[in-house]
Amino acid sequence: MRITNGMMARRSMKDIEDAYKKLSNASYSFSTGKKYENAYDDPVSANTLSRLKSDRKDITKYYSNIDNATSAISDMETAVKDINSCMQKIMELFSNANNATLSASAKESLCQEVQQYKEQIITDLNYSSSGIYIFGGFNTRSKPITFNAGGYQYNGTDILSMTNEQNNMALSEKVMVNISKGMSMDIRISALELIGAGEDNMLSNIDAITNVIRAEEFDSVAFTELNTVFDKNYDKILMSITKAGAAANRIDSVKSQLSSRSSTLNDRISDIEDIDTEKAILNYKLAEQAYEATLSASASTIQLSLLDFLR
Amino acid sequence: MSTFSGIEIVRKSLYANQKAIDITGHNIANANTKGYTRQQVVFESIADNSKTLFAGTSVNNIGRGVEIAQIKQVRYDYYDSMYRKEAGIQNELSAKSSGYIYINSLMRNGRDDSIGNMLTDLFDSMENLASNADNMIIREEVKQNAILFTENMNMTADALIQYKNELNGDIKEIASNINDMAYRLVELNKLIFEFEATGKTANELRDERNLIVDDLSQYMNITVNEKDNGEFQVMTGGYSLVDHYTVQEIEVKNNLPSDVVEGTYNQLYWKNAGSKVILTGGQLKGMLDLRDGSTQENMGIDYVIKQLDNLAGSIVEQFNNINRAGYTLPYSDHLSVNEVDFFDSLSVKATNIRISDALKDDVSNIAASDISLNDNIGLSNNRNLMNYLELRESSSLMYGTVSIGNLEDYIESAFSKITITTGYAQARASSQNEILDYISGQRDSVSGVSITEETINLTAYQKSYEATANLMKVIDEMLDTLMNIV
Repeated sequence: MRITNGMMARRSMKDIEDAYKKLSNASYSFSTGKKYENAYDDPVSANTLSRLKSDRKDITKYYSNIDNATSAISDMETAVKDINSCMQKIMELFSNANNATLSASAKESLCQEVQQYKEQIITDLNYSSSGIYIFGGFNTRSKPITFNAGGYQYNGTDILSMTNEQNNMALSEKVMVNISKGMSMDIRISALELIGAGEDNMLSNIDAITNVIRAEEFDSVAFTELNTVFDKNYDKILMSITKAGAAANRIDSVKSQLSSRSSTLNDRISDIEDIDTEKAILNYKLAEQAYEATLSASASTIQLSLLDFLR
Repeated sequence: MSTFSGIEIVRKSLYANQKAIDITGHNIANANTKGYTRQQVVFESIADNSKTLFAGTSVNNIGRGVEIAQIKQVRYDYYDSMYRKEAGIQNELSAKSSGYIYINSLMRNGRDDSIGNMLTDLFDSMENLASNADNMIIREEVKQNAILFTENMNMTADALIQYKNELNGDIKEIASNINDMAYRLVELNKLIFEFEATGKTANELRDERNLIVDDLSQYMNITVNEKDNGEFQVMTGGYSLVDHYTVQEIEVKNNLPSDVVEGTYNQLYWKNAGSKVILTGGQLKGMLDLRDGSTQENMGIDYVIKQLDNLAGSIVEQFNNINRAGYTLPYSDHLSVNEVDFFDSLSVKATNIRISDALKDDVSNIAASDISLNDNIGLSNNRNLMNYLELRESSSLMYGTVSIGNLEDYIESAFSKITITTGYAQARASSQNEILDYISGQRDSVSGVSITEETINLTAYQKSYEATANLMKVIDEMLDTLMNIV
């Protein structure tokens, strides 16, 4: 095969271009730590990468949902625990009251104290976190529990005379949050669920018991009956605390699963798109050397011809 | 045999060698001329074919020296046709490859501000809103994300259409370029045909013609045919662009409708035959495919816009269905109502998708509730928002007859198809480049000028010239001696 000057020149040009391109790629990897500049330089990896990244995006989304859920549940837990301690206090007071020898003034001051704890419970039920009333179901802008001469209202509906339908409707107002793929959780409890509806509701029950205590004739039968209801109401509170705790546990476990998945994903993403620094330096040096060698080889080959040696 | 025949031999030799030196000079001078084919001097010895009068004196006739039989171009037609075929393919592939790279950069694939990420942001803010349905700040966030998403779609689609129009203009330009070349070829055909009727070869003119044909082969697939009688044809897909002295122009008609974009696009016709020009290679083919390709196999701008349109249409349909089913928040003197659109229901293309006027007016029009909220109770009812979240997880969506699957996956997979096609086109273009390089090398190896070779030739011709000149001296002395005898 004849080798002509044109071939030589083109060959040198192409070699220099190739070496320069490699140098540019190596320099990109070296300075950014990424293997490829554009996704289409390695379509197969790009595909895997985009899937992994969308998984990672999902996890990030669930993380922020979980943070919302955690703070909602801890707000709820705080309030319910406070209600619990009020109920304990009231229970103690009631057991003291189950005593016919108490003077009228002692009874009155005991009742006053019970009423104060009850007020505290109502305050807890109307607890608002950053402007949101957390026990109001879908009604987050006004206090869920109100009191007027007629009795207690939940979101404006009278609790005593609440129909079953109204009750179910109110209880179905759940705020769900997705905490993982296909897994959602209820982050609110409504005040109605805590106190119950009808005449056995917690607040009316407490009022009824104080009325029995205040009465001149101590009706021990009614007192015992009402106290049974009170115990049931108290159980509801305990149950809610357990539920909140369980929810917190569940969130923790989901969160730790997500975090381990996220770190696996990060590892895999880094495996695909990142380059070892040592390797990047080495590659860069190699490319640099190759480029220099090509330049110097081309410089000598394209310059020389027989003319240089003929006298 | 004449006494002076030696002088005649010297004259012929000096003339031939000087001519050879001139040709060598011509080769060296054109070593870097594009399209130049090296020329070779073919010497031929002249035989003495005269019938000698004195048959007895000499058995063998002495030759009469040298002459130049031919100055021939060293060229191998096979490499020319190979080169033209591969150049067509190479230019088609590289046009597509660079087009895809541009489309990729328009899509901002894999970057934070890509359409896919914007859609994810929109859903993320929806998710946030679901746990605080009456939070005005989060509602505003949803609205802003929806606006960002639609604007991003509009911008990308507009840029794609602009690129489509640019290609359309370029196609017209190239077609008129091709016609110009055809006319230049015809002029050269005339010159060459007339010149060669004298029996000589028109080396330089042929080089020029070959160069134009090479250029032409980059634009479209052509076959070249030179008949025995010297008539020269350039054919494409069964039609002749150039036939000896006649040109069949390519006519550009702006009558091709696009099924994804409004307006008509340029189409190529054979002017005389009236039929469409059908191409199988060349830059023109690459650009046409890029402009019109609407399938995954033949991916072009239409395909990409179609994907975006499907996504836009599906999102408008799904979001509006959900939003219309729910109830808005009451605001100022507006009541809580249903049947309110999220996106403008008449703008279902990527170029024009936008949020509804109602939503633009107030973020309360994101219908989060499943019941009317006119008594101002239960404002954080989020039951309808849950449908948005369900939509996000849904993986069996249809838009008309098009299967969308999951919205976020759909855009992701459309983008990754583009990425893969780009990578594939790039790889093919670069390997085709190697092939073309190899053939150019082969062609250059035959037809290119080697300075070293020319230098050697030059030295040989020079020595030959010097030797002949010396021969003259010998003959001169010989004749001198002969004269002095007298």
